[in-house]
Amino acid sequence: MSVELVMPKTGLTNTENTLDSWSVSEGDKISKGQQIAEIESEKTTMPFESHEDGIIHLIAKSGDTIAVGGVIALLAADKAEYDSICAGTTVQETKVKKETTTSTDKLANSIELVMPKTGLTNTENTLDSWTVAEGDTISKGQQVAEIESEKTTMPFESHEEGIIHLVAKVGETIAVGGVIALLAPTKEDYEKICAAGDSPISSIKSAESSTENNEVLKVQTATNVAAIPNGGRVKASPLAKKRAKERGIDLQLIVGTGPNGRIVAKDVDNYIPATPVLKADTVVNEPVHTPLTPIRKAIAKNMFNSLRTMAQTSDSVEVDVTELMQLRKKLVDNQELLGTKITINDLLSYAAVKTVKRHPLANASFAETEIIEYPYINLSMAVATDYGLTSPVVKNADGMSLTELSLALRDLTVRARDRKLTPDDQRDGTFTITNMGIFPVDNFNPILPAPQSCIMGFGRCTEKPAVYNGEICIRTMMVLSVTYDHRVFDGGEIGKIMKDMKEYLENPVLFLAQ
Amino acid sequence: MKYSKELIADMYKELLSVRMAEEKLVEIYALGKVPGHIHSGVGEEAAYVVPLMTKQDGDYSKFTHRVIAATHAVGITFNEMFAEILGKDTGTSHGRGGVNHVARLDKGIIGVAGSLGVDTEVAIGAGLSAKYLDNGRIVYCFNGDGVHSRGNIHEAWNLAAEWKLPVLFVCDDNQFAISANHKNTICVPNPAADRAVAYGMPAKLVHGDDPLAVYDAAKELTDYIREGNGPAVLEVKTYRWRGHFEGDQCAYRDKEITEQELKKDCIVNLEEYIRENGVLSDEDMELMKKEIALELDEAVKFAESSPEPALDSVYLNVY
Amino acid sequence: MKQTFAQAISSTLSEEMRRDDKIIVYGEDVAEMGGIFTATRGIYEEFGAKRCISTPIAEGAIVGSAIGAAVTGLRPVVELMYSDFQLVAFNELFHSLGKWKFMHGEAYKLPLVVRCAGGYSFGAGPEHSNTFECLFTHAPGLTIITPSNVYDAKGLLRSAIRSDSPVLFYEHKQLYKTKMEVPEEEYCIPIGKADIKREGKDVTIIAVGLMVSKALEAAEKLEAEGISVEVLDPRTILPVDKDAFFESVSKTHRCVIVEESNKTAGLGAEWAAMIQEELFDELDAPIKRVASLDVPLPYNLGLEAECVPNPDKIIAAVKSLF
Repeated sequence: MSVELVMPKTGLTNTENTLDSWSVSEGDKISKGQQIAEIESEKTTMPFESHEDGIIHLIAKSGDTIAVGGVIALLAADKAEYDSICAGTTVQETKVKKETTTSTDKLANSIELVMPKTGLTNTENTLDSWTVAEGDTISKGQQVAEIESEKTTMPFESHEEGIIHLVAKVGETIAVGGVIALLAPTKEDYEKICAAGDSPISSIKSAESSTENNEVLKVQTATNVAAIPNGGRVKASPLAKKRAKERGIDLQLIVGTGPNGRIVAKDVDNYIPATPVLKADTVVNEPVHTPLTPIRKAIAKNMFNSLRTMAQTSDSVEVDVTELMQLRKKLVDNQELLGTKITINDLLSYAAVKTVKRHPLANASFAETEIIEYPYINLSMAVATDYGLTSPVVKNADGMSLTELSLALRDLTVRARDRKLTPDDQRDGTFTITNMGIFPVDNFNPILPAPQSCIMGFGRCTEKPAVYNGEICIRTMMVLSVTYDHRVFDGGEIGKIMKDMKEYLENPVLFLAQ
Repeated sequence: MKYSKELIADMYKELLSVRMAEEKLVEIYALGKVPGHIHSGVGEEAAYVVPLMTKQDGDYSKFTHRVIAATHAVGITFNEMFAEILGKDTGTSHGRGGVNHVARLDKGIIGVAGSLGVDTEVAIGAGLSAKYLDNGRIVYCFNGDGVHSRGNIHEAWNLAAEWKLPVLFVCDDNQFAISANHKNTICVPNPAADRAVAYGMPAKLVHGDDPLAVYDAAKELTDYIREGNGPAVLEVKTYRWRGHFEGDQCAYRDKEITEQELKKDCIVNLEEYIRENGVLSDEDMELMKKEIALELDEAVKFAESSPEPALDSVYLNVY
Repeated sequence: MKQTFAQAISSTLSEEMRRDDKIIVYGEDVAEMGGIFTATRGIYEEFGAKRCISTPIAEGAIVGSAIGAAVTGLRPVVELMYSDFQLVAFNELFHSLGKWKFMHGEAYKLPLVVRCAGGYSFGAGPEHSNTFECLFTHAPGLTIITPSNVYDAKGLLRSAIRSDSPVLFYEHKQLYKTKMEVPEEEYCIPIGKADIKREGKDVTIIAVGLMVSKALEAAEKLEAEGISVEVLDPRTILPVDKDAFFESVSKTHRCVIVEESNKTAGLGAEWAAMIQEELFDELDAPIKRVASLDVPLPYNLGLEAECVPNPDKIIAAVKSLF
């Protein structure tokens, strides 16, 4: 039986990725763990490793965008099997858009947008709000709604373009996989859909979703993208599962002490529950009391103390990042040479490090009677995860090249999301960047993580009309927001910092030269 | 030997009953009314009916898979017999046992095992209790020729002979096991009679188309048994008129021989005696046949209209 | 009073035979010799040749005739010497004994007991060491009893004799000489009721026959290591006391089944399946079986010991659940 290598899920809301490049050739003999490709998500580029030995038959092409779960290659156990695969006796179809269309489209030409799964044990979410209107023309990747899970609220983006027919109602709780909207390719189709009236929301059983998710997660293990142990399946005794369910404890949070790491009843008994999962039938009208998780407690304490004890204030400036984008493209085109796929965040971070190098007070701490400047830059990056905000740290970021920084940042992001950060990963940061670019946020006031003196925030990159070389044209603009501790330095110094940063970002060749 | 008219008349009526019942069985089987297989015994009735003419109250009997209608000779009604054969709740074991296990303990029937031979061991147990309780009962134990190659028969014979149990081992040698002719599979010509001597048992060999000879032999042997002398063996030579089971084409048999054998009919022969000795008139005999035919029709109707056992009674009589 | 297991058998038989003259005892060497394991000693002397008979070697006829006698008014207690020889009478036991009443009607009561001696006994070899409860557990209509000590043997044999259902009664060769304090007065132990031989809370060991003492030995050692073991003795193998099994495992959440039969398709296979069907959500560990290796039991003593369960194997199995 040939082994399928499928497109992994690289993030919570990830629905598809691009096969950037193959790192092996057709017919190569592959060993388990070997990197065979580079895949690119909306946010970052990462290696894809095979989870089995075998002779590889490539299916996806470089540049193909494939849905999560779609087959990108096959591994044959031996030559005979490989030959038969190539001869076409094994037919594998690339599964396109599988996870968001789980039943055949109701009408001839409509695409279902379904409630996504936001976490391993997630079975349903609430449609908080629509960010578009009925009948709007939607583009691929455009946010159409806000959905709320037990843990967090997040944007929901359309994975296709089309004219949208809203199905779910605001405030409605829908099972994972249930249809929340339909996209019609043409106006005609749209009218047909509206004429047909709302069909009942199709709702896939959680079991199916979790099976699917398990399959996806198995691949994630293989590719080291999201390595949840045991291929995504929690090993727990039936009794442990029963007790965890009764007490609303997420088995993912428990460390198993039984044979082979199995979670046994006493592990559940000994676990101090952080947050009981909200029951599905919680009455909406009554206030919901949620005990604080350790992370939430920590964040609350730190944020409050930060604002209470430091003289924080923020400045912001709009930056033309058009050239930065072009630079990025050039770097991406040469990723093989560079050994990594550079992202916008990488570039922003690198530029920030260069800026801060020139302005040591931005890499300092206020300490009662003195200001301490650090001889190294430990770059902290805010990473949102489904369990809370983390700030993993790249140590000695100032000594790194752009590509090195890119790799380090990617590694931290992945490990943060996988809950694999060590305590060492999260301390001794001297300067922080926080990127809200995936949201419709322009300028904001990031809160300083004590005892740092400066934090840079990046808003979204959007195309807007701007004046360039004396003419109005469309440029890609981004707002740079900086919060600083006024005890350490003043507006003038910050102004200089922002000027340098703006200069760098608008003329990227400059910071590359540093 | 002189026979009372009553004896002959009873013998004739019973032979007729069993013959016609066996024929009825073949008839309804052909109409697809019977589950499982049946083993027709037409032609062999005398081997069962006639020895049982020596039966006394309380005596036990163990039948076998063929000529099951012979249970009528010890008091099983056609109604309950056919109801059991059709698997109905009104059958002798509520449809659980079926055609091979028609039995009633109050009529002294010990029962039949699915693996023949085992039930011969069981039958001698009835002899053991009869002897132990000293109630004067004896056991009529019927078997075909084929089973006499099974070890159980020999274990039973040895034990019965050693313990001097009151058992008449009747061997209905119809010459075929299934397709195996006893000539090719049994080391002696008479599977029971020839071997009885090895167990110290007296034996008699008679022909099944001569009912009076069968009676004489059975009388002599059962008298012997009733005197406490231990078991005895009666071998009755017959021929299996039909297949081992209905549908068996008997391709392994010589058709000419079969044709000849079919002429040896215990009922035809007894009718001759009856006429010669004025035991019954032709009208009497005709009347008997009609009565029996009617009884059988009623029995089939009864069986067909009887209820099936309830599905939730599946655990009945397991423990 | 103190009695050996063999004395418990013979004395109970004698007492019952005094009470009911329908009870007769027969089998190979049971009369003058008193049975090769002395389990019927004294019966011939007291009741004579009419009620205690040494038979020829004819297991089929022994069992078959007991069925015929039972159906027609007697209450035989027959012996098959070695449980291995039950296979000579497999048909009689499995089909006839189990199904006679079912096939022929409710009038066909079978108040009889078939006793035999089973189990390994240091060099008895592959065909003289078997314990065959597992084979007959598959037979609808049979009752199977395996006592693990003198007290249970007495009470269960009495119940078996008084029962109107056919019973297979398994005695273990190694138990015949064991002694125990037992009541003077008559007592019956109900058929179909298990017994907790030792209470515990961390794991249930279900053990059969001789294995009960091995389990108790293992339990002592495990206690010292902080594992509290409950030892459950089914006593009646068929119909087994499911409620007792479920109650115990619901409490301890872990189960090890110890039997002397071979592992494959042994009693443990059936009981493990039964328990996990009912109590899946209560299990904190898989159900393990400790049984003899799937080989004919060798004659060589070292190999024999290697094959059969012992307290160390039981301890290892229990520990693997934690």
